[in-house]
Amino acid sequence: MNVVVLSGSTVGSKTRTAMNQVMDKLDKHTVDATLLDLADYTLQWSDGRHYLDYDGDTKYMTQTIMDADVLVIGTPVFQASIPGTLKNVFDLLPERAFEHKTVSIVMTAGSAKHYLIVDQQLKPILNYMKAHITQSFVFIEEKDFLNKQIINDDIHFRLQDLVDDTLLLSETLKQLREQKEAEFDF
Amino acid sequence: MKAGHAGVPMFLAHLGGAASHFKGTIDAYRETAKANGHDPDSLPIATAGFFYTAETTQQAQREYYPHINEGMKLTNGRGFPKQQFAQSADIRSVVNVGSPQQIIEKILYQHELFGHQRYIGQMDFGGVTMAQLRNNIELIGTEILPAIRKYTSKGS
Repeated sequence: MNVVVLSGSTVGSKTRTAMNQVMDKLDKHTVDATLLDLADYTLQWSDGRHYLDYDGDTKYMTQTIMDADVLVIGTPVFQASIPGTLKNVFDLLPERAFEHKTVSIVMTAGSAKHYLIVDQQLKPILNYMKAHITQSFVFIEEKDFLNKQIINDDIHFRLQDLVDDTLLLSETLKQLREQKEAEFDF
Repeated sequence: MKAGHAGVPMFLAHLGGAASHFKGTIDAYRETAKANGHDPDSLPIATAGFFYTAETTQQAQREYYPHINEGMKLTNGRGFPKQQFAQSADIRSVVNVGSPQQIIEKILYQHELFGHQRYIGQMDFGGVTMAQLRNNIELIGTEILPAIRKYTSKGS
C-alpha cells in the first residue's frame, strides 16, 4: 500500500510536527509511506494544464499523489480556510483525482473556533474529487503543541487511531473493488 | 457554441458514457449556428471514439480492455474503469466495442441520435496488434460498412 502524507503549508511548524507524528504512527504498518511537505518544494500555480504536463517539483508532487492509495492531508487554518498553497495542489490535479483513494485529514489551528473548517471547506473539495474520506479527523490546537512536539497524549492516541482506521478502510475498499472487478468478463 | 457561432464544421471526441449525453452539445451547436444565420443542414459533424470489433462482443471486450486501459494510462495518467468499460456492451454506450452486429446497431443508433455525417474510429490505441487491426479492418469492410450503407445511402 502506497501512503502519501501531505503537510499542506509552506510556513509554520505545527502541521509538519503533526505529520511527522503521522509518519511515526505509520511505522507499525507495512506500507510505503512518503512525506510531502509543501515547504520543501517550489510548486507552479495551477494554469489548467493536465497534471502530466508539468515538470520539476510540480510534476513530482502531482505524480506522487496520483500514485498513492492513501493520502493523509495535514492542513493549518489560514483566514478561516485551508492555505491557498494547499488549494493549489488540489487545482493541479484532475477532477476525479481521488477516485479509489482513501483520504484522511489532520487539521491544526490556533483556536477551537475553527473546528468546522474541515467539514465546511475541506471535505466538500475532497468529496468533489471523489475521495473515500475517513469519517473521523484529528483536530489539533495551539495548546496541544510545545517546542515542536505534541504534548497532549490524547492527540497521540487519536492520530494512531486515524492511521489505523485509514489503512483498514483503504484495504477494505480495495478488496471490495477487486471483488467487483473480478466479476467482469474481460 | 463557438463552432455554431462561427458556422464551421464540428468534430467531437467521445471517450465514454451514454451517447445521449452528447446530443445536448450537438443540438446546442446547431441551434447556435441557426441563430447566427448559418444553415445547420449544411454544417457537417464528425464524431470520434474508441473502436474495436471481434467475432463476439465478449471476445471484443476481452481483447480490447488491456489496450484501452494501458492507452488511457499513457495519455491520461489513469486507466479505463472496468465498470464503465462493461457498459460498452450496451447499445446506449458511445464506446464502439463489440461484435460487428453490435457495432452496426451502435453506429446506426448514434447516427439516428446525432444526424452526423462522419464517424472516425480510434483503432490504433494502447498497442492493439497489427493482426488485430487487420481483423478489425476486414470486419469493417465485409460486415459493418455494407450494413451501415444500406441505411445511410437512402439520403438520410
